[in-house]
Amino acid sequence: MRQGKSELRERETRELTEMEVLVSRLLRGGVLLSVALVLLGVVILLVTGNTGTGDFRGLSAKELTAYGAGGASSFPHDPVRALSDALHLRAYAVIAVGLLVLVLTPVLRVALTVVTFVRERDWSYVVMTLTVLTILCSALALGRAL
Amino acid sequence: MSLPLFMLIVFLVAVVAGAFGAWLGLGGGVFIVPALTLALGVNVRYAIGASIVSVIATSSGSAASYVRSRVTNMRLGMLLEVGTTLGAVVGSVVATQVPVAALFITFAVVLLYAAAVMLRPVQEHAHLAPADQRGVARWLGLGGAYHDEALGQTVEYGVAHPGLGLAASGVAGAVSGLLGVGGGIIKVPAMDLLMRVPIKAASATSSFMIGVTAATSAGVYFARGDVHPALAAPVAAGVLAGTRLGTRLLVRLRGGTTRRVFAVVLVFTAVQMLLRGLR
Repeated sequence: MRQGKSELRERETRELTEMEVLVSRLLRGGVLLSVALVLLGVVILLVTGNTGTGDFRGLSAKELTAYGAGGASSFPHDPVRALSDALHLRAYAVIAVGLLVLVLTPVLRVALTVVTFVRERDWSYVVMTLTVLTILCSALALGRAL
Repeated sequence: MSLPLFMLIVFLVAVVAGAFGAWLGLGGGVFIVPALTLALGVNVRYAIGASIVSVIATSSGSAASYVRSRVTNMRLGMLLEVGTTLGAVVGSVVATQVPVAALFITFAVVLLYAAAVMLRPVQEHAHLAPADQRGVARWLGLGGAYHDEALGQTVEYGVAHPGLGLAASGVAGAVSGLLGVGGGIIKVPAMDLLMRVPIKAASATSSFMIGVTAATSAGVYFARGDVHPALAAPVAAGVLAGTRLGTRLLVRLRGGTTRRVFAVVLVFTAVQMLLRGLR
């Protein structure tokens, strides 16, 4: 009985590890995509001299990074808005989408962990992982409400 | 100063902060927020927003290495993530509501704590035998095993006090969300001292949790508009590069004297942050 349980645990651990390798590849892919988007955004910023919300030439970095400032200093922080602006190749929006991809990579990891535990029929861990996923997803909605 | 030059300077500062963070095993966040606010005059909310994004970059970018090591206890990590993510939501929401001075003062306290952790002698405690695991820990099968190369044997361990560990994780998550740091300096001692997890497994499991915890607070910061593209991009790229540099080129600090020197640096930074908060 005891032996059987430990064998089962060993098999579970092996499958968890295989899944983890897949997850770590996806995470790397996410980071690479994010880096590519951020770099693209920086290139657009330098080439156009425009943040996507206004021309930044002639303005100091201090003015441009003042908290909550408008005009060329503003940037999209609503995911949908950022995405649509990014499609118009607006510099800050492209960078913001790149950063959003980075923020979402761990969400993907947790979602895939749920799948692993479902396959293992390890229900207490399915509940635990789903709880984490729910908290994680509600964070974005919560920030918008503040 | 023009925007491109400013972004270049932020990038270089982030490289140095990331390298020092990795070198000391503290993570980049502990240095990047003071560097941005005190040296470059960046608004503290933007500094924290940029820092938390860099924590995710470091965590997701290095994910493969700790998976391969197999020291990570995924089940324990998932349980504690319930605590860290809940704490992160509370911490990041509170951060957006409190005055800037409170952020500086809290940061100073965490820096002092980090200095104390650095000075604490690292010693291995007796592990809990897997058979001695009780209650919830036993039911959830939280114990783990890993192969210790230095010892040349497999270490099996049980987990003690999952409830206390969960509470400590909540605090770690709250600090992470409040200040934009990884929170490993709270989780590792908690797992080591309270839950009696071997230090190697505790460090690996803490790293495993950091990305998910940081993503929770980053979600709040992003949606609120505290993740400034012109700051977060060079900070994330710089800390990522600096961390790689720190772990590759430099041997992790073990020497007592050097650790003491850096503890003094942390205390000095804490005083500066405190003064800024009280000004």
